[in-house]
Amino acid sequence: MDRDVYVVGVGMSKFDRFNGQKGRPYIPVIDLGVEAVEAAIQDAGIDRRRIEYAYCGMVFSGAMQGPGQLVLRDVGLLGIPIENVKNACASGTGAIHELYNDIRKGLYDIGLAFGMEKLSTIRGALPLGVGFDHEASMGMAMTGKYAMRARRHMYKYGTTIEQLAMVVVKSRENASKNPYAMFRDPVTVEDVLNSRMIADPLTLYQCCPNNDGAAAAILVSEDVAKEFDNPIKIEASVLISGSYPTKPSSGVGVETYTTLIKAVELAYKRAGITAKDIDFAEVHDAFSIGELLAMEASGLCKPGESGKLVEEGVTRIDGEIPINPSGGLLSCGHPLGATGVRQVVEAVWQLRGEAGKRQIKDPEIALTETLGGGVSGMDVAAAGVIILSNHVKW
Amino acid sequence: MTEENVEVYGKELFVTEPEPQLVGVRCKRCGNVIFPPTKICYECFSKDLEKYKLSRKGKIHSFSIVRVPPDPSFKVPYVIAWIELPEDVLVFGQLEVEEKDYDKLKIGMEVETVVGVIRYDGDKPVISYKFKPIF
Repeated sequence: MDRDVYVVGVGMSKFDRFNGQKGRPYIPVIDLGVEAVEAAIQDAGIDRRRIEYAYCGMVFSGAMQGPGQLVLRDVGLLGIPIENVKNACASGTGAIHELYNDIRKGLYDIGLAFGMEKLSTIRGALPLGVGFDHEASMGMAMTGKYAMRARRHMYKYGTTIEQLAMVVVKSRENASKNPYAMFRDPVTVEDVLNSRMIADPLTLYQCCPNNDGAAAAILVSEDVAKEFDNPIKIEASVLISGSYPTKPSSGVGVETYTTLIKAVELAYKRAGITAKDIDFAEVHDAFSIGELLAMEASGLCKPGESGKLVEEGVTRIDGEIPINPSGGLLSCGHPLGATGVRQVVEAVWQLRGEAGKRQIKDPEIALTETLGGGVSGMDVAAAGVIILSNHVKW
Repeated sequence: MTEENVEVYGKELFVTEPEPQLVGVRCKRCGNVIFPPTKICYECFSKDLEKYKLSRKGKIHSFSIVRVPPDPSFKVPYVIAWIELPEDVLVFGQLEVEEKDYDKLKIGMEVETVVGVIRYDGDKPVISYKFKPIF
């Protein structure tokens, strides 16, 4: 029989550009990974020798044959199985997902999932693979891909450019209360719209920064969780890969996250809940429009209504359904492998009531969503959805 | 342009004679049309696919003017788009459009398949299929 799985320790590094420029220190990605893992071990208060298995999410690991091993060497954890997970922007989510499944199936009781990335040395848009990926060879960029989603959403539903900008305004407002975020200064709708045009209608401030960071989580089985003070339950974890493109005749176009809809429906079913039960969400706002599409795909509002809800303040920390209380990818930044784990870290802090000035009032159930990347012939490469709660009874 | 000073990307994806036209595949079992071609029909899993020429004209599903290049080989600005073709296929490509006409672009606008420069390999233009808006 499947067992329940709990998060008992979380930690992360600050997310920033640690490239030794503009007064910032240079920090190697391995050191960021070590910082996050040590923080999670300390947070759990667990004897590290009890950790039986580890997963590490990372995308651009270059010549590193075993990035996870390099981190755990400096944590004193060599000798246990360490697997490296690569699944575009959902790599960190994948690490947690694999660990969750293993523990759920009873393979072992205590594991570590972490993710890390260093992108501050890459300038401009992330490369998608000119020469081996068709769309990339034709000129696709992540920015352009989301820009086309935004334009279609505006066309189909009347979403305004100001509403897209308000996603960023809210993001910075939340990030100002998050010491781990990169962009913490408030901005106005005008600031967002007057920033440099990247791929119209998306301006610079509507695109998440490529930066560096790491995040980690310790997951345990129910029996072990009983030893801990404040375990957070994983109600469901779903990871699926992209779908074939929709047919124009279906009426569903690039303004809809087809794959995420499937993943979320499955997650709700497994958790035995509906969208109405979600108290807040950390979603993949790699671009302003991403947050709106994720809200709609998750059933947190009807298709086309997300822009209006942002405008009405419904998604603020003190609103009815707070979205990205951490500041999300837009303000924390998006070190690919780390992002999915960071979302879970934020969800755990919120559910424990430890989120400080950005604490949401008494949340019980959280949704995290990560969407992985640009690969030709599918809407996304991967979608990861995790539902967590503080409903712990024994 | 002669063969030596131009590079072609995706030669198998289009023909130029008698007119520029995309070449996808059609499933002989269920009729599903796919572009770019796959090795299997994702609707019915048949591998019995035939080459199939797509309609030259379609409509803009969405578009964006790219101002920051994803790779140095692309010269900005350039315009990318999803195009709806009558065979019920959504195709990604660049638009062949002058900067002075950017303001005229609209979702739903009719386009036709052409061949043009999509990026550069050093100084050498790389050409492929594109879509030209019919204003």
